[in-house]
Amino acid sequence: MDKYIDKVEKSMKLTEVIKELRELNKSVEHNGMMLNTPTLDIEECCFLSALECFQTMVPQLKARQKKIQQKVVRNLKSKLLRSVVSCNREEGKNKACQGCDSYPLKDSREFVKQLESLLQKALNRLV
Amino acid sequence: IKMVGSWLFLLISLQGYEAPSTPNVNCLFINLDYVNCTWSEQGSPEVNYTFFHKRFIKGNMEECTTYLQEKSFAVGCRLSYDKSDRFRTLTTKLVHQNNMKLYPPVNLSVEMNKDPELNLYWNNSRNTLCIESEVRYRINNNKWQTSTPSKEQKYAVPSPLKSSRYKFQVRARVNSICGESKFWSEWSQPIQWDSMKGNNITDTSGSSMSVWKTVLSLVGTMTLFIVACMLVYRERERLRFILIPIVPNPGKNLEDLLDKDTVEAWLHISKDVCFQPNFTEIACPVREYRLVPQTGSISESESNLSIPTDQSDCLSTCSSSASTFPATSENEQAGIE
Repeated sequence: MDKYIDKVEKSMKLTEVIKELRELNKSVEHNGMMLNTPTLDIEECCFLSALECFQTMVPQLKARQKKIQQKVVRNLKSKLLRSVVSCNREEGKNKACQGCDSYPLKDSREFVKQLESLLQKALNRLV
Repeated sequence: IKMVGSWLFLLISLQGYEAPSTPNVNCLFINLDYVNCTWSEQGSPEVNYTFFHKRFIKGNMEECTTYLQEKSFAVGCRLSYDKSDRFRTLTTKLVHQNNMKLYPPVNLSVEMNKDPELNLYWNNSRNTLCIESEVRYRINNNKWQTSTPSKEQKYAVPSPLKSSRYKFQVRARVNSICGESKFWSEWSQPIQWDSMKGNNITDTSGSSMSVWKTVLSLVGTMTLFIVACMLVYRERERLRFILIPIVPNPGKNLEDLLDKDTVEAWLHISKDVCFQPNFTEIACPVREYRLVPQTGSISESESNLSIPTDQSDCLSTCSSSASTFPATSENEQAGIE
């Protein structure tokens, strides 16, 4: 039963972040700014590292509504969310993963889209 | 043709989902300046694909930086050209997201509550929060009314009408939060609710009926065919007579006749010919008459008149018997003298 509640909580959290991200996207000025964007073709254990990369880049977006931007960053840092994307394997948790700078540069629109896809991927794995 | 048709139907219904297949990529070296890789050979794409390529077997896939557009969709990618490229293996990858279609929902059931409230329940093909469902219903075969999609597996009809017939159908897809599937599933098997009877009538008409119709017609056709074959086989001799008429050959019948020489042989052997083997000749009494000269005129006239009646009877009996014997010539000779 605990596992079920845990699952429901996590999925609700993920849903919340995805919705907030969409709100944020509406208020961002997509003026062609380029950001390092992690790809989705990454190893399972590098999920968390990719999320961290995204989380450090979000504040760089030019958003008119700062409140929602801060909320998104806060949620991406949350323990609950991190537990969703964490790796099961003990070995090489953050070892073999790419550094944030090594990911290709994409414009802000692509960046937000990729982050949403990453969160959706996590949600599909969960439910 | 019906056999093929029914097999095709089975194959199609067994398919879980239909996914438009990823198009083929064709790459062309343009004037030793660059490489154009396109995927619009089989028609303009209706979705945006992501293109990747790599020049070396070992190495990472690189995403396309210069997409070629047509009607607001990406149809190809322009790659930079290297002199050795024509002698290398170029590996390409075309990726499309959310090309997905679910099975339709199953186990539909309707029940009327105390309120009164008409509730529809169903099961989605997968038990996950990622699926949203859409309900449509019609009252007494009027226009379909569609609900807003929701993640519940239950739907309540607002203020149901009395003495009406409701027909329900449900379909599902992956919701937007989880990465929306491009296609809705097919509509589920319909279910009917008749407020008069207060019953759950699962409408079996539709695809299941058409399956039955196909099967029955197939069985019927095969049965008829087998029966026809059997009839033809039984009556094959008679049919042969009708279709290929026999040419009469009198030679066969008269073969034994023509072989024999004597008349006696004819009489005894041939039965079909019109000779009477039991012919007995009736003996006719013959009398000789002489003219005695007493007085010239009277005696002549008397002798002329005296024709024996017996002889005329004889003659008649002989000629009446069915024969073509040359016996009559003897009688004639006797009469004159």
